[in-house]
Amino acid sequence: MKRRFVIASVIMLALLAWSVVLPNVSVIVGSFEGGLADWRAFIASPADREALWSTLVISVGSVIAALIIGLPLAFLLGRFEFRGRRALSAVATLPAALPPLVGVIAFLFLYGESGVITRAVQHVLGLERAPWSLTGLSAIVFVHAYTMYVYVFLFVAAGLERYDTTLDEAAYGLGATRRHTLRRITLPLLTPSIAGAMLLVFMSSLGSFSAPYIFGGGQRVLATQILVSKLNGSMGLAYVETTVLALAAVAALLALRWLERRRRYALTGKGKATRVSVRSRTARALAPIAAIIVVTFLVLPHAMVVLVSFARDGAWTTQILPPEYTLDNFRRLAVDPELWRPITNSVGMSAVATAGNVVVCFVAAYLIVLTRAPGRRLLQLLVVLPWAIPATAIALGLAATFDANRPLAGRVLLVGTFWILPLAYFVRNVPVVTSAVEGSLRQMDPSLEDAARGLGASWLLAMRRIVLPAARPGLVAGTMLAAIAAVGEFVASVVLYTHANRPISIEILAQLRSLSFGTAAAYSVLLIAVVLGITLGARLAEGRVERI
Amino acid sequence: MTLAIEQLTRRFADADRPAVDDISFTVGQGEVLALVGASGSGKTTTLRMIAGYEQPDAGRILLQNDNGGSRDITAEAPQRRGFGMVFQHYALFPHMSVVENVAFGLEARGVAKRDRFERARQALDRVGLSDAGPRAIQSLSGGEQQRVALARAIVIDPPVLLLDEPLSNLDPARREETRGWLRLKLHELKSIAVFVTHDQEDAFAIADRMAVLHEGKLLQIGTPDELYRRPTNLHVAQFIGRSTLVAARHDGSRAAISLAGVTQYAPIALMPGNSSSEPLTAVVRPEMLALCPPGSPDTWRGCVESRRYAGAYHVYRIAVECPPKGERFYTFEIECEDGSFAERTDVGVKLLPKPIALLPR
Repeated sequence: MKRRFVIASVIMLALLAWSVVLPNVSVIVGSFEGGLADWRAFIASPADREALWSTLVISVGSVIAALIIGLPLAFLLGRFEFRGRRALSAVATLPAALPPLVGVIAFLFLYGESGVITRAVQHVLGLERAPWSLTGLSAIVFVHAYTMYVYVFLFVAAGLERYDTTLDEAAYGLGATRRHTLRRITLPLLTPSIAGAMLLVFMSSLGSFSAPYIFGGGQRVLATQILVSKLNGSMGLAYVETTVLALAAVAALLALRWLERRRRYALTGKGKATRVSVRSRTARALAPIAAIIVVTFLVLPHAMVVLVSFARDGAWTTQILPPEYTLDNFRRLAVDPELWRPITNSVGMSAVATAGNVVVCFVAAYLIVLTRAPGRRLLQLLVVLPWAIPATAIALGLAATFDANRPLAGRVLLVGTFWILPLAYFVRNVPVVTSAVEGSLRQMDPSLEDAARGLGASWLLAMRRIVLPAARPGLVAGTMLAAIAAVGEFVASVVLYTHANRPISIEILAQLRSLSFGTAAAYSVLLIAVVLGITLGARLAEGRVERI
Repeated sequence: MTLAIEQLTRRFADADRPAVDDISFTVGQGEVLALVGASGSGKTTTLRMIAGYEQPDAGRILLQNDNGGSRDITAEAPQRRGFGMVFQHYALFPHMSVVENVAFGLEARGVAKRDRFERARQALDRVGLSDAGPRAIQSLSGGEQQRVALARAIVIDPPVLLLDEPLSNLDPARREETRGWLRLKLHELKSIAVFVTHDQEDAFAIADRMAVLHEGKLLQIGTPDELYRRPTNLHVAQFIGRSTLVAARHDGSRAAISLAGVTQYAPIALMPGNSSSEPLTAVVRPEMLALCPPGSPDTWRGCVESRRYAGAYHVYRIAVECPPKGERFYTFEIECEDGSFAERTDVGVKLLPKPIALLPR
């Protein structure tokens, strides 16, 4: 065993134990600080019981709603040819491009009590009050359905792409109806994709913070309860709530992994995915209309944020659409240093966090895939751990660990400093970057590195000319996803931010609270622009790789 | 019962010629027909139209019964046709056991569980896989998967059995053995069978008749022997068996082939109907030629390009040059028991008095 790898492995394990494991341990230990008192308080508290219950209801509801939208859409776009298909598939993943908080405020502008759609419907029907209110469980599930169906859509669409359509043809030829074939052949074989997407939706809903926080309307969920307890100073209770949330997440993970394992078959798609033209005449006539409606619904939130970003703050009161438009909102952001600050904060902190991810995750993936370093199985476990833990729990764990001069935490005091947020972003993004790099490295023939060394290349040269180029697609994709997630991050930030290092998302919330909708929307547009810029940058980086 | 294909045509968007162009043929009860051709010849599209997975742009597909009635199935969905199909990659359902796969067609027909498993087991018996029922699809070898696919297709008693490249996924040794087995099984079933292959050896071994397709058109249909001995088309002559096409004439009763000033003669197996002075093409097969020492009378002077040992005989490739030197030469393959002709030496090539096919140029 090469010593270099042993040392690297030890360093990686120590680093991840410190940043990933220790915070979780701190939380669990913290929950028992007063013996079982905090656990008893949790069980006795009706508020917490309600929060746990509604968290589970929201998560299950979001999974169902995401399946109801995502599954038919994936089949429709993957299997059928109709007018409007291209437009629909172009915008089908658009909701994922909205940072979670921005999606929520876009819905507020559209469907909230004073939202555009709400007022328009009220006006047309001549109602005295708003026809609905965007509060409570159904509102949260509604927003989740919009932002999270994309997971189902993407997973199932990918599954369908690999799906060998001759299996369906074989079933038809044997006399099975479309329904029978769907139930007995297609859906069972897509189970791994569907289960993976369900898990992702469930986990995201479980930890979802923005939607319940902004229009929960007094609806308690665990993620918001944790913040409330922390702000009230009942840290013990906050730790118990965090532990329960994390346990729920791990339970869901295990349950769906089991389902996925039970039904895993290599889908070796050899037959090209052929799209059938819609045959029925009514369906053919209705398809473009339906496509236009769905496209509008999907694009509306983005359009709304852009529109409101040009609205003069304070002028929009009871009208359906904002009456006055101005560039002031953007101008103020650029001129007022207090308003510019969150932007530099977010960009700076996400740059630091992402740089850390690139280095650490590359080394971890390299050790896991290409070496036989000791402890690589443990390493593999540690790098996926943050994925199973809701962001609020991660944030509270970091707060619990680095809030005092503890020897175990390496005597590092981070709470209240600039560094705590980048650390949170870093931890949250460890799984996605590592798995992206792992994916690329696994596609590389491991003997390539040996071959290079055999030809006399130094370890460094082999790394630079063979391993890094092989890892690059995953590295680029992982970096892109991490940077996007970090720059718009809200859930961990709201637990850990201070005024000096507040990121864009926190400032959006603050502007919303002071009813400066235009300014909040201007920030959101800026955030969307940054996300698009990062995506474009990643595309360019990939393009360059291909040309070489 | 007879399967009748009438003027079937299929055009795909953005293709310059129809994938299947005005094809007609019939297949009788108990007959095995092979659709052969290179890739892109339209054979698989034809099969998929018979199965109902592809809709023809023109033409009809009929099932005629023996007392003159016929059923037009052109527009019927595959579910309603009730044909059995064996797919190229078998398309076995990976999440079901062997017996569940075989029973699926009965499940779709609402047959009770006990009954359908019993019939599935009988079908597995017929393909020689009695004990494979509970096994997982992934644990089967390629040959076993192929048998399961056949069992799944025949369990529903299909009037028509369709097979898409049934042997292409087997290794050469298995393939040889499976050809004979498949021929026996298909004839045992006595249904109408149509199979697609790009391999003429498969077609020779299994089919009663072969239909040769080229660029969407049906060139010739007949027994393997007819196609080999009396091809009516240059593509058929080249596709079926090994051959060299040589310029020829005929003088009333014999074919006359002149190379480098030496003319040799052979009886005629097939001749185009028009006049005798037309320039023609002769289809020369390996067994029509023999090797003799160089300079023997009435032989063509050739040069041994290569020699390959093949057990009972040697396969020679002989180049015959026609002056002006190097401008034009023919390459013949000749099978010969005598292995004494060395490479890069001259030999005499003798045309044996065996019936030869003549085609228009």
